[in-house]
Amino acid sequence: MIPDYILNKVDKPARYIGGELNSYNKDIDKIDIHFAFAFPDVYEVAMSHLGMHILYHFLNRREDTFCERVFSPWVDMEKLMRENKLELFGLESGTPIKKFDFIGITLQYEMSYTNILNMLDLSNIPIFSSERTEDDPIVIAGGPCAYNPEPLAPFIDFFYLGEGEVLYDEILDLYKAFKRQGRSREEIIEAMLRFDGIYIPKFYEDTYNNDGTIKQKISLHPDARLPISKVVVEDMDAVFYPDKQVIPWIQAVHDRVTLEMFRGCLRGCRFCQAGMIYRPVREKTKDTLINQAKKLLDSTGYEEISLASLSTSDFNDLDNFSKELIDVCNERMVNISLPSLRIDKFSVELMQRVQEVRKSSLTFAPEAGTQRMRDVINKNITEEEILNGCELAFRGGWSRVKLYFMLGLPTETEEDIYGIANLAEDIARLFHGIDKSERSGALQLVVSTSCFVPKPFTPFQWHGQDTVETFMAKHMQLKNAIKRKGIKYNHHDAKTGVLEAVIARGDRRVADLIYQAYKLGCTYDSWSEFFDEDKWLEAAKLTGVDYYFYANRQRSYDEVFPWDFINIGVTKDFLITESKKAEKEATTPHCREKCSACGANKFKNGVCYED
Amino acid sequence: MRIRGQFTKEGNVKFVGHLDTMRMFQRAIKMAKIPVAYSEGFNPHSKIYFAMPLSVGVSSVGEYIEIRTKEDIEPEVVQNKLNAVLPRGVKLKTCFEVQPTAPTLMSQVDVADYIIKFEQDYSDKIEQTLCKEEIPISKRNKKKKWVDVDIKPLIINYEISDAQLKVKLYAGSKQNLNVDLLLKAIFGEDEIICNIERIDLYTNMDNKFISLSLSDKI
Ligand code: SF4
Repeated sequence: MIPDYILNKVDKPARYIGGELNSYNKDIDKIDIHFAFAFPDVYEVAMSHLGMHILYHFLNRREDTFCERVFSPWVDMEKLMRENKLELFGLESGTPIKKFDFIGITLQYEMSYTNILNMLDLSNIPIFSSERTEDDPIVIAGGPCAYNPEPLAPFIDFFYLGEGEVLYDEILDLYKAFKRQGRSREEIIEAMLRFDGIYIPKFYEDTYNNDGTIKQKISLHPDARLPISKVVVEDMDAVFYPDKQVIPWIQAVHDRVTLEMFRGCLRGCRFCQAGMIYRPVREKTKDTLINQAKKLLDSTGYEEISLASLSTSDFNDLDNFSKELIDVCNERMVNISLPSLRIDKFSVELMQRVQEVRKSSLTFAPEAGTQRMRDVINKNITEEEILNGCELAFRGGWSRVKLYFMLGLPTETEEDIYGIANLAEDIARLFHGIDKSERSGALQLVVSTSCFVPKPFTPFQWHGQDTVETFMAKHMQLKNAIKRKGIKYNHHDAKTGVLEAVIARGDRRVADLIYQAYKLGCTYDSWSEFFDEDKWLEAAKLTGVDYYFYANRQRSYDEVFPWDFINIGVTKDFLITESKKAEKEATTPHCREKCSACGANKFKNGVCYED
Repeated sequence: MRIRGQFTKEGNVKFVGHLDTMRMFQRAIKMAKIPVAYSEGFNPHSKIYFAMPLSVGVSSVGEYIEIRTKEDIEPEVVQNKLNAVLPRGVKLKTCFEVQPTAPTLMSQVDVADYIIKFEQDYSDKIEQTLCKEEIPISKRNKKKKWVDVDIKPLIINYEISDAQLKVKLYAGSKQNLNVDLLLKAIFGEDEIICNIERIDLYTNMDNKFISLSLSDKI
């Protein structure tokens, strides 16, 4: 446990004390498996993450297992921990992480990777997997970024590819049995080879071509399979879903309970990794959802419930479900929040229905400014739909609107960039065109652009990303084009965007870059106040990792990618077809309109088998 | 119906700030299915009130909460139901009903007791300061300006023993001395390792200090 005199000195000491409502406390002497769930960011961010809540309760439902949480200490705390030689500890019991059986790290964004190394170091666990001994926990990593595990390969004992509920029971049972038999840590890790969905980097090796691209991935163990398939939950109604959530001490980004409606996304936007790696869409039924909503609200006392899924309004039985949910919520004086909505009429009507009193701001993501560009990325929404959606929203009393776009999408032209400004202008005109008595307040329109980062397992995985200079020029161009009062423009940092692209499509050599940057003092890279581009550039120089090669280089269709050995269901052939269609500005219908034979039906469930 | 409770805030929960503690109680009261009353308006919130904020890092065995309920409920039921869900370190010691006409909890706070435990024996140093006729110290007033104040009249009594100081201080909205300022008066800017605990809050009835745990009887 952290002593009082240290907690008295840090900002927000409640980040480090555990013991929140709905958290677990177990007798360490009475458990067999001590599991640390690690989120490599600060408490408030970590506690807002749904996957953490699910896995935490999933593992703790086992009597033989105690899952504790461990997050990245904020910089003030880290400094004091190092000065006082304190090790990183589990929030529930204060036990040093080094004493745990497992540390399971969730990989949500690339810019958190240096924090992972820092957390291992603060735990006194060797950063490199090869240097760990019997005294060290087994280090697992999972989550969306694990679909390209290679940039972290030297640091992780094994990767878990897919949804946690599928294999963890078997993994823990196996661990327990082996432990009883007195087997070594190495033997236990090796035994994980029996599971499809588990990737143990040390049993594989990459060979390279002269041009630096990968020639082949070689298995170094007779049981080390190639390819490795992700694992997915088959029956979303039957799978465990926690009936409570830990209530953070400190106000998290949102004070609310989260209900997951389905996994996957029908739409197939070509830039979106989540849309591919989580295929196929698997929904819970309305009754399951209503039941879970009631339990969650009763067990947390929250006054808001958020419907989390990739594209909430695509839920099959939305009409009936939303009606029933509204009743449940009205009874309990609870608000419903709907993130990730499309901007169509249907969605706006839904918003109106659920948010009768409080008009918060509306967030929509058209992603691109012109129809041509939206066709390229397969964002199937027309300008007319966007404007109609906005009009409905304005007439419904909303006046604050946030619009998200991406810059640097494949085939983007000047016209597409100006298209963003034009669309914003059209929306502003639309607002002012409505009679004052039929709208409320003054328009506050925020246009926000991010830098497009090509991701593995998307139709754009071959794309050469824009350079920092190009991004910055585009920011200027757009800034100059948006001049109207009431429209604000902001953009994400180009330097972070390019580094993210380096890591996202990195191979094992990029691990050197991450390690070196960490050694130079980089942590909390996703926080702009800490991101130190000079140190990263220095690390790149020292390790010979060439940003251009990883981020900006256009790949050819026959190149072998570091992540090709993972089978996510969706085939590379499908991605190539999609990439070619993008060039031709041709769109692809969503799964419910027409199956495009992406390959995800190999999982034998979900939307592919709806009648 | 107005129900008051005296509760503890001991152990690590003392690092949870006042606002976060209030949020925690809001959740806990709903989890415990206490029929709490709500304010009217667009953004209704549950009617829960506290006597006096406690600084982060200070523990207490004498905190107070008032819950207004929309239905009648036995205070003891409230106590049991809440204790079943409250986190480690927070515990309702008693619960009782107060009359609809009773003054607010906050307005009743006049005096607070603290025990401060030090790592070493500072008896002499403490005595030297506290025995003075006047104890001047500069502090920021409500307008954020630095002013000199004499805190001696705000100290009702004190008791020094070994490495421990027990003090009774004026507290609340009329006149208030917080412990940090008292320690600053004694130790200046030196960093002192100590444990501060609030023991109880009192209301002043003709210079008789009555614990708020008896506020149903006043
Ligand atoms: S196989 Fe067809 S229905 Fe299934 S996810 Fe792929 S495109 Fe959609």
